[in-house]
Amino acid sequence: MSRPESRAVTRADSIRLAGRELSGLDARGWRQVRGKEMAMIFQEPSTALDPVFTAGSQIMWVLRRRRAQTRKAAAGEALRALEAVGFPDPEEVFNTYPHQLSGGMRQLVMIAMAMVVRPQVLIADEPTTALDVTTQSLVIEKLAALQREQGTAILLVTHDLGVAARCCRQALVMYCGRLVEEAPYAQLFREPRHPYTRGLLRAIPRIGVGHPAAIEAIPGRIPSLSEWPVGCHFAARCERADDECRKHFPPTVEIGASRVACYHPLGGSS
Amino acid sequence: MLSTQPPALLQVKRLGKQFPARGGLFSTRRPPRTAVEDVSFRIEKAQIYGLVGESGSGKSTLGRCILQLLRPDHGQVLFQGQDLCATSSRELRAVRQKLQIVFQDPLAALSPRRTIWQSLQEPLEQFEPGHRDAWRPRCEAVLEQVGLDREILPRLPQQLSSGQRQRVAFARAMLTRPELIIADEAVSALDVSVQAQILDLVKALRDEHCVAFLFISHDLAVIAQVADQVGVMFRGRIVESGTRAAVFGNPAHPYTRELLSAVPDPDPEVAFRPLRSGGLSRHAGVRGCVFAGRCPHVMDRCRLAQPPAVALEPGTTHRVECLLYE
Repeated sequence: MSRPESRAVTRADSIRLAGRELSGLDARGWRQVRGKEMAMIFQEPSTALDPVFTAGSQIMWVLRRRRAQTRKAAAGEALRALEAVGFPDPEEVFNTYPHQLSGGMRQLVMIAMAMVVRPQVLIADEPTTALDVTTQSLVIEKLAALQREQGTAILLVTHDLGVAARCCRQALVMYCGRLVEEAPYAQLFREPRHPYTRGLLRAIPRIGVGHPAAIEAIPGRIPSLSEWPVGCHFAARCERADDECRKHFPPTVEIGASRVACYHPLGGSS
Repeated sequence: MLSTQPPALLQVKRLGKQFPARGGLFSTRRPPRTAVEDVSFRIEKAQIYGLVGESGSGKSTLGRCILQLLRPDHGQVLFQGQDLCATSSRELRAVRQKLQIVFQDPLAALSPRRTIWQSLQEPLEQFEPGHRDAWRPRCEAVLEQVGLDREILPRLPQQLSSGQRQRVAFARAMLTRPELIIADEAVSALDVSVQAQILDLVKALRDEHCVAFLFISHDLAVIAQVADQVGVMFRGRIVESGTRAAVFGNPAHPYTRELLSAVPDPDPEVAFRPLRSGGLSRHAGVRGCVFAGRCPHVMDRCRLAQPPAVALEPGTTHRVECLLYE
């Protein structure tokens, strides 16, 4: 087996969780961290849940393994978790197999499962992308409740700035593998510093009453992995790019509360 | 019904489609599942009709029924006056020249082992055999219409970006000089920056080549961006329809309002107060209004029969299937 992931090399100078260095951990050490201190939910909950076990038994399994609970205690807590994420009939859902649930309900089961381990960090990778807007709003609400009530930090990965606006305080913008801008979300929305961030904000269709606000596409296309350029990855699509941008990846500079990797940031001095 | 309207490019009348229930091995008595029920609407020449609804609402089934890729159980599909439901498969071939479809995933729609040039020749073989010499210039002209360079002709689909591939899919649809293109979630898989490019393309094809679109999407913001006329689907029915300004500016059906309220705006200062009725309910009512099980304004009579479509204001196209507006 040589899947690309298994051949991939991950390098990090440092990954710290609550002050503890994780980057040197071996597989065994990581297993202790995953699912206990850090949990993750995915875009497609149907592939993350085991089809042959009921929703309740899968949450119980996590509790018994991660928190060494007895069957009885685990069953009780699993039920409470299902209720907490908003199921009006937790007992019924407890005994339900994943295929009997809708996509949104499966995602809520995943959130319940993440909740019971009380992680310090939850990575939510496009958790609402496969859901209808009405269900999406429910999942957003439950994630916010998890953060508020258990103090869980959430790294929300999304392509939908509307979802980010509802969930996030701090926002990081990535383009082709690199972080191009970081700022408090409201700041990012009002005053984007990186030309890509501004382009992204202008390209989003929004519901304007009566007449739609015109959207503006970013010209060009996203380079594929094999053709990432040497300099700034956005240079080929950027109206502000010059020779310097095409030669070197720009260093990160701070402008007010924003950090931006750009030689010619918007509203900057240069 | 008034019949003084000029003939539409496409007129769908009381279309219905059911699928047999997937019975288990031994149970065959479950009732069939209704995917599309009693749907009527019209699309004029060079109009973009946006069809919006959540997954499973029957949007795609409706698109396929119009093309007769699925034969509807009842109703009529009048395309330029001809009822496609009563047209034989053989005769449909000629009609399909004027009626094209573009799908969500161009990688699945384009053969991975054929170059773009080979894929583009397929509709020409079908509709313009004998004019081989004209194929190449025709393809190049169409590529230009969709904003692609002729250099991509010898490439394979996987050598193109997702946006370029979707442009190829539109180019292939445009080759036959269609009157109507059904775009089924055609921008849903694209990055927003590229999605905006494809939406511009759709508008340009409409403006410059007078193509009408049935634009199917689950994304209300996308529909708000391109559509002239909007239909909101829920469980197989168009529960509300009207001009974009009417449906988005003055939503009437409780479902439309719920949908609109649930779209998060990227501006953090825009209030987000999603209306939510029993979104997690797994039980649907069998009779009455399709939305009755989730509707916050439900009345006893809503559960008796499906409300008929009523015009909100006389003389407008804004129609809603809801007893609140009787």
